[in-house]
Amino acid sequence: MFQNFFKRVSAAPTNPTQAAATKEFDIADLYRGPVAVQSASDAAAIPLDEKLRQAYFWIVNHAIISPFYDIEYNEKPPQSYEFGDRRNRLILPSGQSYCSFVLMPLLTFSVRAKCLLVGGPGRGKTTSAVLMGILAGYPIREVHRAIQKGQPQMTIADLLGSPLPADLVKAQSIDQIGIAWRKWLGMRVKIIDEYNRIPTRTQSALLTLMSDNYAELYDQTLECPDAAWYLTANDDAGGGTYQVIEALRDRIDVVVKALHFNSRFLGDLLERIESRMRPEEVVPAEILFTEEEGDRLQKEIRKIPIPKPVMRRFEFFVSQFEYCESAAEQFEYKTKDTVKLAAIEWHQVAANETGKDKLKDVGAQTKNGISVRAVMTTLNFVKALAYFRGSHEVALEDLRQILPFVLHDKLVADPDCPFFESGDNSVFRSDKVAWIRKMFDMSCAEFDRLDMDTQDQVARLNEQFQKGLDGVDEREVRKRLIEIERILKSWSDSRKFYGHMYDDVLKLKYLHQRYTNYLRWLTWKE
Amino acid sequence: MTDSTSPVDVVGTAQRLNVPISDFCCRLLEQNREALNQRYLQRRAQGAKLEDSSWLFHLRQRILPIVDTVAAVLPEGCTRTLNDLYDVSLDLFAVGHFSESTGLLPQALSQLWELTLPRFAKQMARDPRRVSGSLSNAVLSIAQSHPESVDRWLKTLNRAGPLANKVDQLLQIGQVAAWSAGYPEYRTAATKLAQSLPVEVARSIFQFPASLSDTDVSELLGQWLVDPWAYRSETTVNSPAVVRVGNCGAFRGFGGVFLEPPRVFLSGQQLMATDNHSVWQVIADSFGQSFHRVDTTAEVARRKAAKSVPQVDAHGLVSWNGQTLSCPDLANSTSQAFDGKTLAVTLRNSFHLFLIAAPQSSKESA
Repeated sequence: MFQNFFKRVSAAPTNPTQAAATKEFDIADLYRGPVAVQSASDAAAIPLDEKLRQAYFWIVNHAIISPFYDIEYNEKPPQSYEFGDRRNRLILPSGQSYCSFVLMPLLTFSVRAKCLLVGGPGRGKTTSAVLMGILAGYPIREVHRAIQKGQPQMTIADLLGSPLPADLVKAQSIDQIGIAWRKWLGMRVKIIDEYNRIPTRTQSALLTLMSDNYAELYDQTLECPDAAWYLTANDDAGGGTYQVIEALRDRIDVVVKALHFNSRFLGDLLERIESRMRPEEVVPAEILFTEEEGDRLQKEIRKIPIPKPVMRRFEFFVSQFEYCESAAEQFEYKTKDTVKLAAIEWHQVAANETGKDKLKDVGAQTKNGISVRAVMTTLNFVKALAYFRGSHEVALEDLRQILPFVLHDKLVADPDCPFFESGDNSVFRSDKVAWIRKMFDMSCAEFDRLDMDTQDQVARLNEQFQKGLDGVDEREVRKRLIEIERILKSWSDSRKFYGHMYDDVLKLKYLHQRYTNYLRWLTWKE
Repeated sequence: MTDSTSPVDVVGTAQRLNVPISDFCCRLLEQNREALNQRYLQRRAQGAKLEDSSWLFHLRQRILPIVDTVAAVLPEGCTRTLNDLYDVSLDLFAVGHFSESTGLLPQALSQLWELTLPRFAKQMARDPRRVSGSLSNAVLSIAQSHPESVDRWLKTLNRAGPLANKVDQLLQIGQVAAWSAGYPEYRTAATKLAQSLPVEVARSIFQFPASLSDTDVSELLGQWLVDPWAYRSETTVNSPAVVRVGNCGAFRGFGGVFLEPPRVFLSGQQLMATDNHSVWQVIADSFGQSFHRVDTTAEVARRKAAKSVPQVDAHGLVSWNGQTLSCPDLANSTSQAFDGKTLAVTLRNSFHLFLIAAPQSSKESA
C-alpha cells in the first residue's frame, strides 16, 4: 500500500490556468477523440511543463518532507496574521505557492544550471540532488556511485580520472597516454557533496569543469555534456575544511537553503522507517525525463518571453548597485569594482558617499554590483519559473521570487549601512532572501515614483537610435544631440545622483558619441 | 446475451443469429472467439455501458462487412483488422456512442462505418486501428462542433478517399475535406496538406471543373494560403470586383451565438465580434465561417479601431481602390472591421455579420 502511495503522481493539470486569449488551431485535433489511435507513449505524452509540475508535486508530497511555501504567489489579496511582540507576519497565499528547497533544484534541472544546497546535516540536501539524478533517468545505483564526496584528501585523479598504467610505461609522448576518465563526467546530473571540504587545488580542476564544461589531464581533454550541477555544503558561509575559491562560488547559479524539520511531520518519518521505503527508490516512471525531453525542456523554456515592462524594472534594479561616487575621478570608473580592485577598505569609501538618502538608496546597502553572469542566470531562471507555472510569459512576481536565490551569494551586504539600523531592518542582516526581495520592492517603488513606465527618456532615445541611422539627416542628428545634452543638463542641476542615473548617464554618453561620429561622417560626405 | 453476471458469448451468438455472415468471417470469429469474448467482458467489467443487442448488431452489420472487404485485398490482414475494429468499437461503445440516445452522432458514425470505411479496404488492411479510430474521432468531432458539415465531409471522403495510396494520405484527405466542409480555421494547414497531395486527389476533394488545368489547381492552392476567398466559384477566380461573400452569425435562440445584435472589431489582425456579453474570433473563407469564444478582457484590451479601407458609407456604398459595390441594405452600419481580406459589417437590427471580400488583384496591397 505504501509503495502505491509513492507511485501516485498528481493529476494534470497541476496548475490550471486560463487559456490564451485566442485559440491556436491544430488540424491534428480532428483525429483526437475517444479512440486512442496514437502509440501508448504518444497517448500518455503530456506537456513538459505539466510533467515538471508533476515531478515537483511528487517530490513535495512523497519524497522530501519540506512543508514550506516560501515562494508565495497571490491571485487576490492574501490573508495574513501577526504573532508575538514583534508582530511577525504569516501570509496565507491565495495562489499556488511553492517550496524553494524543491523548486529551485528542479528549475536547475530544467535549465541545466548549478545549484548550491546549504543547510545543516540530515535536511535532505543530498536526497534532493539524488532525486534530480533519478529524474534525469539514471538508475539510483548509478546516481549514488556518481556522487563526488568532498573530503580533504580528494585529489584531481579522484575527481577526473587517472592515466592508464600501461600507457604511462609505453607512451613516447604525453598525448599517447590514455586516460580512464571518471564515469560521472559524462552524466547530465552532477552531484558534489560537501564541496567545501575539497582541497583548493582540486577545487581549481572542478572550476574548469564547471565553467568550461571540459576536464583536462595529461594534455588530454574530455568534453562533458551540458549538465545540471548540485553542490551541497553544511555551512552557508562556505566555510568547512577549505575556503572555497571565489571563482568557484561565482559559478554557482542559485543558492537554496534546506529548512528545518517540522516536528508535526514526525509521523511521516515513522512510516518510512516502518515500511523500509526510500522515496528515491520508487520514483514513478511518469515523471522521469529522457535526454531528448531534457533538451526540449530547455528549448521551450528559452522561448518564454520577458515582457518589456518587466525587463525594464529588472534593468532599473540592476543599475542601482554598481555606482560608487568616490571610487574614481573619471565617470566610467566610479564603480564598486574599482574599489575592490584597489583593495581599499570598504568602510573608508562608504564614509565618503554623501548627498544620498542611504535609507532609500538600495545601492548603498551592498559592497558590490551585480555581475553579467548573475543577470544572465536570473533571466534564465525567471523564464524557467514562468514555464514551470504554465505561464505564457514572465511576470514581475516571477522575477521577484527568483532574484533572492540567484543573488544570495552574489550580493555582499554592507552591514554598516544605516538601512540595517533603521526600524526592524536589522533582521535583513541575517535573512538574505527577504533582504534581496525587500531591495527589489524598494527599487520597484522608486521606479513607480519616477513614473519610469511612461517617463523614461533614455529608453525613448534608445528606441529612436535602435531604428538605425540610415536616412537620418544632419538636422535630425543635431536635434537628437541637443536633446541628449538637454537631459544631461537637467540631471546635473539636481544634487542627488543615484545608481540608476549612473547607467543612464553613461548610456546617454554612448548615444552622444555615436551621433557625434555619425555627424562627422555626414559632414565629410557632403 | 444475458446480464453481466452470466457467461457471455458474443461471438457465438452473432454466428447463431439468422443473418448472413461470410464463411471466411465465421472461421475468423471461431479462431478468435476466446480472446474477443474476453475483451468484451473485460470492458463491461470496467464499467462500460455495453448493450448486448446493439453490440451484436454492430458486429455483424458494421465490423464483419469491413473485414470482408479487407479479405478481398489482403486476406492475411483480416485477423488484425477484426481485432482492431473490435477494440475501436469497444472504445466507442464505452463512451456511449452508437447508442440510440445520443441524437445525430450514431447516424453519422453509422454512415462512416457502414458506407465509408468499407471503401477503404486497401488502407484499412495496412493500419485498421488508425484508419477506423481516426476517422471515427473526426466524425464525432465534426458532428459536435459543425453538425451541418458532417454530410459534406463524408461525401468528400467517399469521393476522394479511395484515391489515397497510403494511410497517411487518406488521413490527410480527411483533414483537407474537413476544411472544405466548413472548418475555415484549418485553412492554412489544410492548404499545405492539399499542396502535398497528387493533383487528381485535390481535384476530387474540391471538385474543380475540368476547365482548370493542373497548373491552375496548383496556383489556386498557393493563393488559398494567403487569401481565404481565392476561389468562390469557377467564374470568380481572380475576380477584380468587390463581392459580397455571405452572412454569418445568428441569434442564439435560432442556433447562433449572439444574444444581442453584434458589433465587429479587430484584435491584432483578427476579426472579432461581440454582443456585449461575450467576444468571438470570427474566421471565414470560401467554405464557411466559424466563431470561437475568446477571453473577453484580453480581447477588449487589445481592441483596435477598424482599418480605414474599405469602408461602407452611410448609403451602403462600398469603395475599394476604385471599385465600388452598392449595398443599400448595409447603409447606416453599426460597426465595420477589415482584416486585410474580409470586410465584416454589422447592422443595428440584425444578428448577422455581412461579409465582403476585397477585389483579388488588390488584396496584397491591403
